[in-house]
Amino acid sequence: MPADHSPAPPPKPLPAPQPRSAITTYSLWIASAALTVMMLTVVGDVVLRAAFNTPVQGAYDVVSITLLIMVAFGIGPVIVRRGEILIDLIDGIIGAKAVRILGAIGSLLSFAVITFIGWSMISPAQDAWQWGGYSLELGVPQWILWALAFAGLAGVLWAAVLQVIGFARGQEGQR
Amino acid sequence: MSGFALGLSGIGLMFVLLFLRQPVWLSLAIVGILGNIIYNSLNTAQYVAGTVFFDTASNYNLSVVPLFVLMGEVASGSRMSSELFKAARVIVSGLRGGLAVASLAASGAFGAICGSSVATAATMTRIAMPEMRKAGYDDGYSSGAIAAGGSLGILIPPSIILVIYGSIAEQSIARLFAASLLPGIVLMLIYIAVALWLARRSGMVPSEVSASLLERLMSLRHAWQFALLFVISIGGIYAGVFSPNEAASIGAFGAIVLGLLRRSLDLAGIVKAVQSSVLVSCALFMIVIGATLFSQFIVQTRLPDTLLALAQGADLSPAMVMALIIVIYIVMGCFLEGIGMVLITVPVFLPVVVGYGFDPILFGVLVAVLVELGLITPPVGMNLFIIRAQVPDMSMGALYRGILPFLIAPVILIALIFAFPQLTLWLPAVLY
Amino acid sequence: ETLRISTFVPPNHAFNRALAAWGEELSEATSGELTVEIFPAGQLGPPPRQFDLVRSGGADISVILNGATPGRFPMTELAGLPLTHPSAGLDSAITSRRLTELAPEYLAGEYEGTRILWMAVTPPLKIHLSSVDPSNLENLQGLRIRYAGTTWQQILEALGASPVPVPPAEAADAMSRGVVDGASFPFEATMSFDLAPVSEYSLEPGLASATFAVIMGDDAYNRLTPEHQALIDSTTGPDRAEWFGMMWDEGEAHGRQYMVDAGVNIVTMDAAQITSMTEAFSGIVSESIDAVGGDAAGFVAAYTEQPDCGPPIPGGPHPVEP
Ligand code: NA
Ligand code: NA
Repeated sequence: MPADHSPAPPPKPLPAPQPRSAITTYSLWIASAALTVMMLTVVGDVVLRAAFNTPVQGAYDVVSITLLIMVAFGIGPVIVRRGEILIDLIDGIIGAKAVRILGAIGSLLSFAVITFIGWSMISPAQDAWQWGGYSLELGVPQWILWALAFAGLAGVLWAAVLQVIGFARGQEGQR
Repeated sequence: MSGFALGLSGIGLMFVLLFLRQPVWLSLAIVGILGNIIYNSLNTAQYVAGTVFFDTASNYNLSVVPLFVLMGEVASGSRMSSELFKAARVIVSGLRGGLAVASLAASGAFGAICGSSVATAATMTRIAMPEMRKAGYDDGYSSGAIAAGGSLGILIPPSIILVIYGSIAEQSIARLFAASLLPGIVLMLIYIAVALWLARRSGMVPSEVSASLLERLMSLRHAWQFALLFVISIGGIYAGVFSPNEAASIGAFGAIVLGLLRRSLDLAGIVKAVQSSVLVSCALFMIVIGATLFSQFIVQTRLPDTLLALAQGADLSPAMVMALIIVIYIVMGCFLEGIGMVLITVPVFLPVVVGYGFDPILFGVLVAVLVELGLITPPVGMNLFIIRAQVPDMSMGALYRGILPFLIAPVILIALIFAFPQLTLWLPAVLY
Repeated sequence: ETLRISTFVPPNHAFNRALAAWGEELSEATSGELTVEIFPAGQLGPPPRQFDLVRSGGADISVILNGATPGRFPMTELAGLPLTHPSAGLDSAITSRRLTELAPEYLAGEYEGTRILWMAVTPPLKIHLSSVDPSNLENLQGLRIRYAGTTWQQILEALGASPVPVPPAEAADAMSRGVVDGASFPFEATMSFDLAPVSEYSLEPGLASATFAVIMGDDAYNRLTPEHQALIDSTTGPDRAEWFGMMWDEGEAHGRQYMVDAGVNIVTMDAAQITSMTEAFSGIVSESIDAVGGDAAGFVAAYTEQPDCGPPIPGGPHPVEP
């Protein structure tokens, strides 16, 4: 290898995630397992199709369902880590205290919006229970999928509560 | 309040929330929900809010996002991508800004297998950003090149945006793909020109010593594993064995296997890669959920229809109507996400544009370019958010400053598309 | 008063043109007091959400594809069973009219909170193949065929083929790359999705239809004056369904001609082959009827028998500008 550039400044490593509560830690494990199953199902489908011309029955459904689990259980850990994307243009203009207050408002608003979404989901979930639709390939009843979504959402709500508590106790956010 | 005024107020409120550093998903969701309650009823707002989470999270087409993020995470965690970049760096050494050129070219190549800009930008951030940092590149410059390159994913076929356009406009997807290929390549070249021009300015990139031809050839031996993955996944798509979704899974799985074989990856490394893929993807899914709530509200206010009606009332020439439509797209692109923007505007604008004698295929390519531009224009630019999600220690301000010079490229391309319609229309005419 | 109509089909689709024409009629009959505003292409929500959209008041009227929510409209979905159609024929004008006539008695319960304006049954979907000649039905065994919906999944399995879900816009690409060997579409859709260049054979008659319902929210209906309500009632129903079905039949003939012009071989099953297919599908039909239960058998019997309302009226009862 040639010495192909001038001395570089020290690399800025990406910050490591810091889990903060048991529930959101389990949540992240569930979401990760779902993503792994998604990948392995698709790989299995491709391999079986190439080798024996017999695709995995229901691969399409498995991908959709594992995606639902990944998103439902993965959002909580994002909120707990303050991983939501935001625009921090004014951080340089306002002081640290103002940033903290705005963060507290944001965590309260997040809690309110997530509660609204959860409350709104009750009616379509009841429909899924009453009318008994099912998934395309595997025939998984829709209400089971809704139950999974609610379980994940409970974790999201808990993550939002932790945020509100964190601000109330005056803990600084990670950024 | 009229729909038009309400829509404008909603956009204003969203800007205020964004400026007051509220999370992007939250700002979009609040305006979407409140707007729906005011314009329709609580019942309607609840219908949208109650289904968007479930529908977005179980949308098969979006599964390509976490899978491609995972492929990038594993390739990066097992140092495969850094070897690719070492090779690229030696090959283009002596060229100031060589890594940015390599990253733009790699984005173009990746765009040729992937229909999603989100996935292209996510993967390229993982691969290129750490290497550009190590090489001492300015953060804003690096992220600008990556965000711009990522947007190539929807212009170089295949393209999710063109598929959606084609199904709304009832145009042949194959023709649209053929039409967008040359503009996609031209855009990549303009981006490269911008990157090279910027690199001449001081402080952006360190000067590099030129490697000999032998060293350049030797450097390739480090890149073979990544090249193998690339060939298997791209080759698989072109040979008709894989869909993009399958290519991403095979790519991620192959990267894990290669990493384990050469002992640059262990179980802890795999777990870390999967967990960060989940976190990155979910931060993006939150924005998609917010953006869906927001677009559903904006559609109902008939904002684009009203703007267009105002213009048509002014008795403008076809060229001026087209110019106005382009301006509307650019402005909307600043605060809307791509698919939502196409859904809102194309059913309204297409009949007008065709009525004025423009070619619907050309308009499709134009829409794709404008959506691309929207992906990288502040304040709401999905590609910028993707980089931000993966490089959280970088400020949004640095990202905004970094992308600004690159914004000129799509504007130049739009001028070229109208100056030389053959650029879009020649290839489909030859092929079909 | 403006009625907001949501559809998930492209702006130029027959449904949007028909709804716009109907809107013109309403507007003319009321001197502009009652108008419609159409939100096409899924602007207000994806296909599976069109029913909830109307029930929640997000739109006043919408077009729902029953197959988009499997199991949600079990009785309606029976009209999409393989080779199940009125004995008078399988043209969309006949099937749509018949289903609309039966809707108040058999289907309304599935659409609680809304009223059915009319039902629409597509011309049955045909199998289009990239290279295999289906003259001998045995040749379908082992082929990978694009489908949408549970019924088609069962049909393809009964024929010994492997069903592969592919979005419609990607079907031609999947056929050209050999990801699938064929796809199920009505002729009318082959044009929109560019199927002719990748198809060598089409197999007719079609095997099963998709059903649609055009519905209006009860709240939206109750908001109208009695005169406007009466106008809605008199301009919808079986006559409207037949008129709409005719538009589809024309599109189907047009699409078939497009395939013929492009050199696609159209293979027509003989009576014996149709009988053998009917036998192959009999299990699907009887199981579906049993699974729905209630008056499902009565509904299918009523749907498949000769309609008692006389022959279709030429030209349709509500002539409108194209
Ligand atoms: Na692409
Ligand atoms: Na933007």
